[in-house]
Amino acid sequence: MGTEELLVIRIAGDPYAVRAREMSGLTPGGRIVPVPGPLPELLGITAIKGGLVPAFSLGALLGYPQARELPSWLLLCGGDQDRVALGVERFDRYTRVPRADISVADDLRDRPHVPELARTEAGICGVIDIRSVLEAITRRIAGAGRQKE
Amino acid sequence: MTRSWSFGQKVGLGFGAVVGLAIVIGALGIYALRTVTASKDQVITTNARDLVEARNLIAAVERKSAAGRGFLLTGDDRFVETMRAARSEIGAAIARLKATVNTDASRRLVEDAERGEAEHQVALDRVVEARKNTPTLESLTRLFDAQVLPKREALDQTLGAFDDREERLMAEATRAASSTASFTIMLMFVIVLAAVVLASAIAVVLTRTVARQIGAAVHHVQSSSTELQTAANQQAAGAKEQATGMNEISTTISELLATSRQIAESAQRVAHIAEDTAGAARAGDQTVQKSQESVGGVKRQVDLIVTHMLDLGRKSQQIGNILEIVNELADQTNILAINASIEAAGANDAGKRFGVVADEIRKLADRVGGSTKEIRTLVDEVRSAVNTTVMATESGMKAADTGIREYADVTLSFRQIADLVATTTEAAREIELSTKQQASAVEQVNVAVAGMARATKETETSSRQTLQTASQLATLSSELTRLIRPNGGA
Repeated sequence: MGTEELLVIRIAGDPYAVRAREMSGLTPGGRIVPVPGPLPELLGITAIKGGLVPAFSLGALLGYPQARELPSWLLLCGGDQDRVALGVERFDRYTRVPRADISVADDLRDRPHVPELARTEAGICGVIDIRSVLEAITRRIAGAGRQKE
Repeated sequence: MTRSWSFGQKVGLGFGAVVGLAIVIGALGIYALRTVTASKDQVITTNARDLVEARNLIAAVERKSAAGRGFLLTGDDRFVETMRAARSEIGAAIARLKATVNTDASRRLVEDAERGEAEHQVALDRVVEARKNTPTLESLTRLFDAQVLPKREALDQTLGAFDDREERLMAEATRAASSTASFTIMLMFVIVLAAVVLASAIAVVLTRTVARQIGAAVHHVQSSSTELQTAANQQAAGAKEQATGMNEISTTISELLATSRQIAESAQRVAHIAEDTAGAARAGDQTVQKSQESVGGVKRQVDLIVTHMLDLGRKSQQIGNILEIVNELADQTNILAINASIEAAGANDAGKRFGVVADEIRKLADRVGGSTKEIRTLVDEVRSAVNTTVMATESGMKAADTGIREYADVTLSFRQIADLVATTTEAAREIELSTKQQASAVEQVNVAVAGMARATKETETSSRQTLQTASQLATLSSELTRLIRPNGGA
């Protein structure tokens, strides 16, 4: 069956996990400069590996209320051209779980972008579909652009 | 203005009035008696004497005439001598009568008698001469009848008138004296009767006044005796209560005396204890000074410990700083390892071997991070222990400083205690002395109270005697009231 490598994080105290293969990196949350934009989930821009990267609040994208504090960690997603940073409050661990411990999440259908649940060492946590999150960002940005035009 | 007369004054006034009346009556009686006596003396000494002198004069004239006739008859010269002697008696009688008669008529009769006797004597002398020259009796008789006899008759008539007058004067004087005596007796009777009436009135007034005054006084005496009985009863009751109170006071003073003696003994013991306490305080002072020196040594050692502990704290801080660097390096290594794992995961099968290395690096970083956390925990514990120790030692230093200051205070307190104990000793001795003096004074007071108790008992006895006397006085006043008012009540 194989294994799945997960980064266990916490959003508003709730445990979540993202697949390592959907990420491009992990970096501590640095200075984020707020910029005007169409999405309220956009925290601003930050400098990572010599380039400016937009930083979004992953909690806000999952439907949580906007946190007052800046994120402690930034999950890097996408390639070099469309790299996006998703800010989270806390990074717990990097873990590896059997794929059999990942199942469809029937109880979290009201929470967007969380289709599965994973059984980890810290307990059961929702597995965030980063690709769905990035697509949603893209759609909303596109929608905001069309709306602007 | 009403004058208040006393009993004695009223009685004296009554007796004075009676004595005055007696004196007046006596004076009047003496006066009347003297008047009667004077009247009788007047009768006896004047009228009777004049009458006797008149009779003597008549008798002398008779003797002279008889002597003249005898000479005429006998011629004997002895009759001449007798006649001369009778004539001398006649002259003396006339002289006395002139001196004693007190009326003009009597005096004229005496003078007529003297003149008549002189004329008779002249006539008689002529007859006597004739007798010597004419020896015949007949011629002598004629001569005698012619010359002597008329003179004799005129003289006898004069002497008879004088004798009648004197006898009548004597009878009148006797009647006047009797009348004076009767008037005097009547006057004395009236005066005595008036004196008796006046004395009776004075006696009645005096009796009523004195009875009223004595009655009022007796009433006052009864009222006063009643008040005196009441006062004596109250005084007796008060004296009895006072005697009871004095007994209680005597008992209390005896207890006070015993208490004073106990206080004196206690004060003496306090003085001894204070002396022992002063010695203990001096010893405590020396002990505290030694303890203060020991605490000073402890303070120096604690200062040294604090210095070392602060040095240890600073070195722990340095270890912590180094550990921060190591931890940061471990975190960065961990992040690099995670990123390497992410890259390996993104490379699928191509990155599997790289992923294993990254995983091992991440595990090493995790272990380093865990170790640094443990070291941090240990360093934190060491720093906490150092801080606690420093705080404890600082507290110890503060306690030592406080102890030193308190030792100083204790030393000062011991010295003050010693001074105060000395003062206490002195005060205890003064208390002992004062208490002994107090005990002596209380003994004197006890003696005085005993004397007062005796005096109170005597007062009680006197009150009873006063009560008895008041009762007797009330009885006496009642009897006196009955004596002065037999029919009236008191």
